[in-house]
This record gives sequence, C-alpha cells and structure tokens, in this order.
Amino acid sequence: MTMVNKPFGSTPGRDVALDQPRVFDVGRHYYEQRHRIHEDAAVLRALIGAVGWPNDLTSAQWAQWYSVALGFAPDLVIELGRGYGNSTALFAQAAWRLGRMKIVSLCVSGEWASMVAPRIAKLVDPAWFANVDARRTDILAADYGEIIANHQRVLVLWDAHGFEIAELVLGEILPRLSDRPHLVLMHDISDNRYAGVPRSYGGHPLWKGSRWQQKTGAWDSRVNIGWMNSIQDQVIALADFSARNDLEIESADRDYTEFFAAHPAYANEMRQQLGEEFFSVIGHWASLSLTGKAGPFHFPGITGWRAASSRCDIVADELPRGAAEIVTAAVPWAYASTSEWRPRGSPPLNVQSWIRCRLRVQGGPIGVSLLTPDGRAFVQSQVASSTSPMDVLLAVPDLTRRGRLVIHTWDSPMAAQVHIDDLSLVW
Amino acid sequence: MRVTSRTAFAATPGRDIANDAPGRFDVARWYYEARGRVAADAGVLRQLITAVDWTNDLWPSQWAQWYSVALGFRPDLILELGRGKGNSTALFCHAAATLGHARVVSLCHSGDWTLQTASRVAKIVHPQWFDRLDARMADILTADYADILADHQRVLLLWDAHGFEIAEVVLGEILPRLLGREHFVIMHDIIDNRHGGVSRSYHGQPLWKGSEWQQRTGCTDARVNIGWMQSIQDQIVAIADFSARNDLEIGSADHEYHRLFDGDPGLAAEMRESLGEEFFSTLAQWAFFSLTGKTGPFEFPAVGGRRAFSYESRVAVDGLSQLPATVVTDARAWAFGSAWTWRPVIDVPRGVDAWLRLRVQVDGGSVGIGLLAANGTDFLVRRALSPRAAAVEVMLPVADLSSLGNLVVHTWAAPVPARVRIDDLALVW
Repeated sequence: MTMVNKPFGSTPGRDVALDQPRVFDVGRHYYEQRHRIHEDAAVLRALIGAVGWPNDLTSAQWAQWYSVALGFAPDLVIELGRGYGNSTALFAQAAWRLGRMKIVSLCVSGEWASMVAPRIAKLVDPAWFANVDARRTDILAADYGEIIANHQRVLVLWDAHGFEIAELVLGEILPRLSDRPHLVLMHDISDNRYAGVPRSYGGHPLWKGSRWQQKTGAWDSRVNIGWMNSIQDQVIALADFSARNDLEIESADRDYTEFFAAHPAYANEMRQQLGEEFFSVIGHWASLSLTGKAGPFHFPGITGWRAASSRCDIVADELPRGAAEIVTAAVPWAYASTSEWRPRGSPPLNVQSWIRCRLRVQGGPIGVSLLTPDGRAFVQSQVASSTSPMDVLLAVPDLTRRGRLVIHTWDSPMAAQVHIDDLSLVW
Repeated sequence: MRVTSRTAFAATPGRDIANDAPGRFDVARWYYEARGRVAADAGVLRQLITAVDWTNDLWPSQWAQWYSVALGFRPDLILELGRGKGNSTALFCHAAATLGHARVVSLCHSGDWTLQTASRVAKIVHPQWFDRLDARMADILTADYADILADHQRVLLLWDAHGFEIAEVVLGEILPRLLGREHFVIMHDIIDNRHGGVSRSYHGQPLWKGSEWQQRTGCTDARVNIGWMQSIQDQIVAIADFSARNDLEIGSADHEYHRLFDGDPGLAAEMRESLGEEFFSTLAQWAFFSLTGKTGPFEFPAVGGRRAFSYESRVAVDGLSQLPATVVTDARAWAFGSAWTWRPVIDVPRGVDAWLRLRVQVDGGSVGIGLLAANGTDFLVRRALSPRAAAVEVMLPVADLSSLGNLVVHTWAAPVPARVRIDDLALVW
C-alpha cells in the first residue's frame, strides 16, 4: 500500500531531494546586519519620518527588510507596489550603502514623487536618488524582460495585491528569475503560528476575497490558509503554487522567532543594540525563492495582453507615424493630444484587443486614456512616468466604436515631454 | 508552505484535540459493509440513475458511495443543499426508504426535480417513496434551519451548492445548530490531488481567481489547490480557513477508499465482484467532516444578513399603503406578481452595509423575491422561497443606496400560483 500524504504525492514532479539548502537565512541576516542597522538608525529614523506613513511598515519591518537587502545584496530590486514609499526609501538607502543596486519601483500612486521624495531630498545626498527608477505605471503593463535585463541577483518586493498581480508574479516574473539568484518578499502575510493572531472569526463574516472586501469594507475578516493569515487573494494563489511545485513558502515570523529562540544571546544583543524600535521577531511577511531548487517548475498561464500573439500598427490622426513627441501642459488633467485612431489592418472583431503605447516620459506624470465614443468619459486611463521605455496598455471594448485616444497631464501640475516610440494594436 | 492545519495557530489557545474521540465515521468501511445492500439494490439504483439522466453530475460509483454513507451513518434527517437534476435527491430518498426512518429536506433554486425528474422517478418507485422527501425550490441562504433541523438527532448534510455565501451559512448557521447532535457533512466537487494522477501543471491555464471570475470568464479549466484539496469552488478557501481555526481535519473520500482498498486488495476484489466497476471505484472526488466526537470550543463565522443590526428604517413602498399586504402570483413561471419602487423613510448614511429585510409567508407555489438593477430587467439579487406554514425572514443586500431597484415578487420555475403575505419590510444596517 502506498501512503500518500503530500499534495500531488502520486504525481511525478520535481525531486525535492535534489534541492540545495535555503539560499538565504532571514533570521541570520537580521542578526548579522545588526551593526549596520545600528549605524544607520538615525538615517533610517529620519527616512521613516520623511515617509510619514508607519502604519504601512513599522520601524522593525524597515530594519528587517533593510537587513534582507544588505544581506542578499541584489543588483536589482523590483518593487511591486510603492504607496507612500516606505520600502522605496529603505531599499534606496540599502542601495546607497551597497553602492551597486538598482531599484525599479512600479506603482500607480503618486505620493512618492509629489510628497515623499521632496522631503527625503532634504535629508540625503542628491546622488541617493540615482539608484531609484520610481515609475508611475500599471504593474500589469510593465516590461519585465526589459526591467530584469542582465541583472544577476534580483530581490522582488511583492506588495501589490490581487489575483491578476499574483498571476503576473508567478507566471511572468518568476520564470524570468528562475535562472538567477532571487528572493521574493511578500508583505501582509502573518504567520498564525507565531504572530498571535486570534483563531476566532471575532464576530466577522467569512472572508470572501479581496474584491468583496473592497466592495463591502469588511476589513476585519481574514483568511487562514495553513499558517498564512491575510486579507489578500494572493495567499490562495501562493498555496496553489506551493502545492503544485512542492515548494515551501517561508515565514519571516517563524524564521525570526525560531532563530532567536534558538540563540537567546543573539536576541539580547539585538535588543540591546537596536531596541524594540528596530528589533522584533514578528514580521508579518513571507518569502519564496526557486533558487537552489530542482525543477521542473509549474507556472500559471498568462492572460490579458501578455497572451496576445498578433499586432498591427495604429494610425492616429494627431500623431505622426513612427516616433512622435508630445508636450503636456503644467495643468492637471489638461489634454495635449486627442486623436482619432484606427488599426492599420483587419484584426478580428470578436476577440479582446489592446492599444499598446510604448513611450518615455520626461517631466511630470502623464495619462494615456481612451475616451468613450461620445467623448464624455474615459473608458480606461493609465498613468505613466518614467524616462525608461515603458508600455501602456488600454483594453479596447469595441473596435467598431472607437473613442479617441488622449495624451494628457496627470494629477500634478507638471509639464512633460512624451516620446511615443510605438503605437500598436495587439490581440 | 505545505498546508497542514495541524500546525496552524499552534501557539494560540484553542480546543484540545487530545480530547477528541477516535474517528467514529469510516466512509471506506461503510462502503465495504454496504456492498451487499448496494448489490441488492443495483437494479433500482440503475433505474433511478436513468430517470435522473444527469450522470456528469454524479457517476454511478458516487451514487453507490453516498448510498453507503447514508446506510452506514443512518441519519434521521438528510439535508441536501443543492439538488440540480436530483441525483443525490433520488439516492438519498432511496436510502431513506431503505432505512425506513429518515426524512430528506432538499433545498435548491432549481425546478428540474419538480418539473422533470420526479415524474420519471414516480414510474419506478412506490408513491410512498416520495413521502419522506420535502424538495423545496428555495434559497439556501434564507431557509429556516432551526425549523428544518427541529428535533432530529442524526443529520447527514450534503453540501453541494457553492460560493462563499453558502459556505458562510453552512459554517456559521447550520454547523452550530448541529453541535448537539450526531452529524456528518459530505462536500461534493473536491478532488484529492494526492490520488488518481491529478496533474500538477497549470496546463497553460491562468491562475484560478475565484468562482465569480470563473463564471464571468468561462475559464472553467483553471483549478485551485489548497493542500490536498483541488477544486474550482470558493468553498475550499472557507473550508481551509475553518479547518485551520478549529484544528479540524478535513476528510478525503479518495484517500479513505485508497487507504482501505489499496491496503487490502482482497476487500477491493470483493467489492469488484459484488458491484463491478459500475458501482465500485476508489475515485470519489468528495470530502467530508464532522464535529461529532470533537472537543470544543469551536470557532464559527458570523453570517452576513443574520447578524444583529444597529439601525433600522421603515420603508415606503409606492402603491402599498399598509402591512400586512398580500401579493398573488400567476400560474406562469417567472411572471411578476408585483414590482414596487421603494425607499427608506429616513436618511441612511452612504457607504453602510444595508439590507432590505422582509418577513413573508408563502402559500401555494414557490416564489422569488428580489431587487432589480437600474435597467429594470436584471436582478441584482433574488431569493427563492417555497411555501411554508410559518412566515420567514428574507434578507436582500442593497448594493447601492443611491440607486434602489424595484422590489419584485414573482412566480418561480413551476407554473403554480402563490399568495405571498408580507408582514414586515424594513431597511437595516
């Protein structure tokens, strides 16, 4: 009789016996980086003050991720989700410390550029910002082949949520990283074995998914999948990926608690050196890596525009063919270009298609938007701000009733030069 | 993370599983022990399967498995959540007839049993076969479970209707009521990925993104795995959560059958000889659990719409001057009996989680009560109600207080008229 206890236990899969020991010991690196954290405590404290949003990331979490960045020493940090920029600032500080780390930060929010960066600029050398490419963009539209490029050691912060982003991380980014050392940090996942989270539902209804939570505002409902306690859909995708690949999802809460429980003297040193401000054994985050793991791995398929296999040029009446340059005004939401457009070709009408605009932006954030056919509202609108080439994708609801394509200023009164390198329809 | 509910919440005080009684319900042993009965009844089971005529919902071997559960567990009430064409309804009714003392209450929106299947089954069985069955065209979310469970002492629950809302009713409303009595819960459509050569690969499919996404996009090939459970239903998320909070093992029929019959090939040979491949398989694709014999305390979720509300507003209904009021629906399926505009009589704060609460009594056929969308044709929400002697409470979530769709009372799937008495109507939040 075969007693099968692991998920997919009777299905051929990768041989975990061939896995190498963990590439990165989170607990040990926290301990080993204690001196640097201590040395940098004042600047970290000043940066935390400048960001001014500690409820997104506690000081101890700053120190934990700082230790990860210093210990793992990546040459690229991809930050998915920035918000006010707690992690952006701490990774930038780590890059400043290490001297050879690039940070590509992707988020639709504008707080970093409009509020936080100016405050930080008063604290740091201007060159501190040179390592940071903080883009306002849709995470789902970014070109990860271009971002990852030839970087050899990549740290990913997965701090934007929802199933679509989970699919992007697991199906697009991870396959690109599997051939180089990498580590993925995942925020907002507590370990119910260590973090003291209550078993009780607390009088709250069942957690019914992130979309339900946003719709109802029932933020107190949480879901537990094994040890993972969260409010994010992401943990479902992680559990699935973990089961299919026989892959351990690592818990920072467990790593820290067990490491320092096994070395009480280290914990005392940490407390003495860093205080309760920068030392805690609870992180409320998780990590995963394929580095050192034997394959083959299973990744989810990719949907949306990334699954598109056909393209044709778009002809737009206000945009010259080939590269075009548009200047937006320093007035929030002001239109700089409003174009009728049509595909140069005959794409099928019964499949989903997207306008793909490859562009670079110098100056303030701009918007690329698709109007309704009557021109009264935006069907879809995407923000873009990066001097690096980036894609903006707009889903076309009906190719036979095309609203105009608008290039406009975004929410800040900042002018910009928009270089459009390519305008295509993909499907 | 390899999902093991045993270790979740390890440092948090909870129930002491060391005090749990040994497993009392052995589905594999029941299957084996019922082989003679299944073989004896194979002819009528086969006829019933043909009468239902929907084997892609439940294969003959699954019929035999659940039949053996009913015979082994010997319930005095079988509560069926989700009926569809009526595979499980028929097999449980037959089990009830065999046992001689069990009642079957079946709740489902679908009218297929009433309109199609029952008449075909009636040609096969004695008229009294139906006496034990109460097949309601009704909403699982609004049923009165205190009334259904009443004084029954041994309850078999089939959980074969899906979505988070139903999971919440099962885990937060029905299970607490079952605590004081022996019970066993069967959950359909959960595959054990440890058995049967289930593929690890996504096969180019996107991530599973929830049942609502799946219905919206038609991506029915995407599946999700949580530990050993593989499914397309939101339900397994709720079950994994419940399992973790309560340190409760979810049983796998696939696993139990493999354990017994792979472990003792002689028993498997006996089963094959008695039942053939038609009624014997170690492939089950269902799961089970029970709190019977487990020590508490247990953690249950609150049930949306059944919680205590802090605020209440009377509701003004155009064309309805006072309550109680009676609506008579036509003997035409889906015909509207009434469609009222309505509004709360006081200002309700924006953004609150508000519900329209009705107290109604239905006489005659099954009816639907719902709220229309702004386009006046689609329902934002509706609940099916079957005729009952007593009034019941119906809760309709109000998605947008700034755009209140008409309140509709209409005939349900069967062309049977009804009298609907509305005793009370209020907006609560």
